[in-house]
Amino acid sequence: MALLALESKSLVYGAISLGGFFLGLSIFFFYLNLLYLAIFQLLVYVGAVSVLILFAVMVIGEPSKLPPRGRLGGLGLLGGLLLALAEVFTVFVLIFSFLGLTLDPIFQSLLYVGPIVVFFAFVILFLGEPKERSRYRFKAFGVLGASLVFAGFVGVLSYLGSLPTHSGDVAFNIVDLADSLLNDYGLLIVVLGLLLAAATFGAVALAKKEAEEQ
Amino acid sequence: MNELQFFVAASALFFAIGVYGLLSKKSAIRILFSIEIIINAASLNIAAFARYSPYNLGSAQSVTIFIIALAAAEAAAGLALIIEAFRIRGKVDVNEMDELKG
Repeated sequence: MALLALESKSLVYGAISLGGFFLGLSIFFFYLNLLYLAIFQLLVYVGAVSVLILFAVMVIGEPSKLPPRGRLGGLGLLGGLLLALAEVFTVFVLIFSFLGLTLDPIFQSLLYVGPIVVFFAFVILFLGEPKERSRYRFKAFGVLGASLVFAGFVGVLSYLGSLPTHSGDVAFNIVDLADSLLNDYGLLIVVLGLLLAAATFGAVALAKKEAEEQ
Repeated sequence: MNELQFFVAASALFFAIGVYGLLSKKSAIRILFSIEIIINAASLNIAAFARYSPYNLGSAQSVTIFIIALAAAEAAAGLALIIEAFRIRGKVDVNEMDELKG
């Protein structure tokens, strides 16, 4: 979903799938038994931020001319296919691991996905047609950076395997939340309110200035 | 692989996707999307660790709520800036916003 948000051709579909990503995250929070957080996420992100983004996309509108869909060279097609395979594989590994059918899936995904993605990126980077290269260079850098970051996380995660976890059912307790919000973080809430007010004023000021000029 | 690892892996995946978008996209709105995805990955990470730690959930939820509120403020300010830039320039391609270049 997150990938869809970034890769879809139309900005509107991108914004909508970003909303879907936020929704999925709030479902994660529900699953984690963090009820208040899930509701907060639904309210703020799915409700407010998604609408805000959609509104901004409407104001800006679609890019007047979409970049012409150039014919993918054989190389680009191959690379794209490899990347798609890697993604599908990663998703399957995650699903399998979620269902408990583990083959030490993190290492598997690192083993398979990492080299494929890096290979893809380098192929596009260095062997692509000159015309294609300029178009794909950013994408290749992005894929490289993302795979590096992911590999780093996976490395950290492999140490995490021995971390003792407390998997007993923690009852959702709103008293804890209220206590910590009001007693421990009371000052922070005030500061946060000031920050939100400042951000709102700034946004309004930016929008207002133009209206006065017209 | 226990559940904590699943959530941390998902968080890492989202973070990586966000970094990818940050590095590869040219439209300012897409970059804002990426930032939102990264922030959400961070909050998912915190929530997951909080859930599987022996302490109570209040403090971590507070921190995550602060993150969400900050992200909302950032989204509002960022979108206002993008709209302003769009009004001035007619497009939001960050590669062409180079007037400050020395």
